[in-house]
Amino acid sequence: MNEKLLLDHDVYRTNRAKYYPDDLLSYENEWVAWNLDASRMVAHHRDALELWRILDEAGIDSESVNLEWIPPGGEVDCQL
Amino acid sequence: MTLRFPYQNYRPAHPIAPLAGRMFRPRPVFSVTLIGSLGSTAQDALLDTGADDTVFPEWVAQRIGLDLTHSPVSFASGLPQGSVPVRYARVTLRIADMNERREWKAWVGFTPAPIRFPVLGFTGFLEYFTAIFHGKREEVELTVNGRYPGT
Repeated sequence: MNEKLLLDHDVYRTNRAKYYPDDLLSYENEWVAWNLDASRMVAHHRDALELWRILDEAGIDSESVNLEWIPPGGEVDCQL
Repeated sequence: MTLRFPYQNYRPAHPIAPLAGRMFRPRPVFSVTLIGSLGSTAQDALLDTGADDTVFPEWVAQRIGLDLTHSPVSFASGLPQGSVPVRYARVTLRIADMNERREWKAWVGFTPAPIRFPVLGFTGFLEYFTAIFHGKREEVELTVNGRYPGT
């Protein structure tokens, strides 16, 4: 494991929380790859394997991104 | 040593009435890496004490090189899709904070059903940790227990 690629959960949390559902509407039902501090969306695609193909082609280390699926509406009000 | 994960804050579209109108949903979600022969993938996952198993989307298995053709199968409920198939395989999991890293092999389920978050349930995850959920400071602490099989 590359020690430089550790995810700082406090920083990630702060940056990820800056996104409103409206900000994510255009990514609903898609997979997004965040950089390791969630300050930037590196790539996105409806098909996760296609997303990985894009990341691989761009030469992006799989350890340098964190994936998340964006639900319809950008976020759910209540997760059960 | 203890791993410490702050709850992730997610903004819903509406103020949360039962949380006094707060605009964030705190959830025990953190990044988990699954490692296989073809590579690894890191994904936000939900620590869920009510989940029996640890379950990820099926594409993860393909991505990291797991062949699920002859894997044991069960059917899981609790998703909007109703009963969905889950195929199991032994896989390496990794979690880390800024101070500690843990890596172990466990049974993980993979499902074709779309899920908001992969779930970290008892089998494969919580069976190996003592978990303390700090509601006030919205943080979970994980300490390996005597059953933990990894490094």
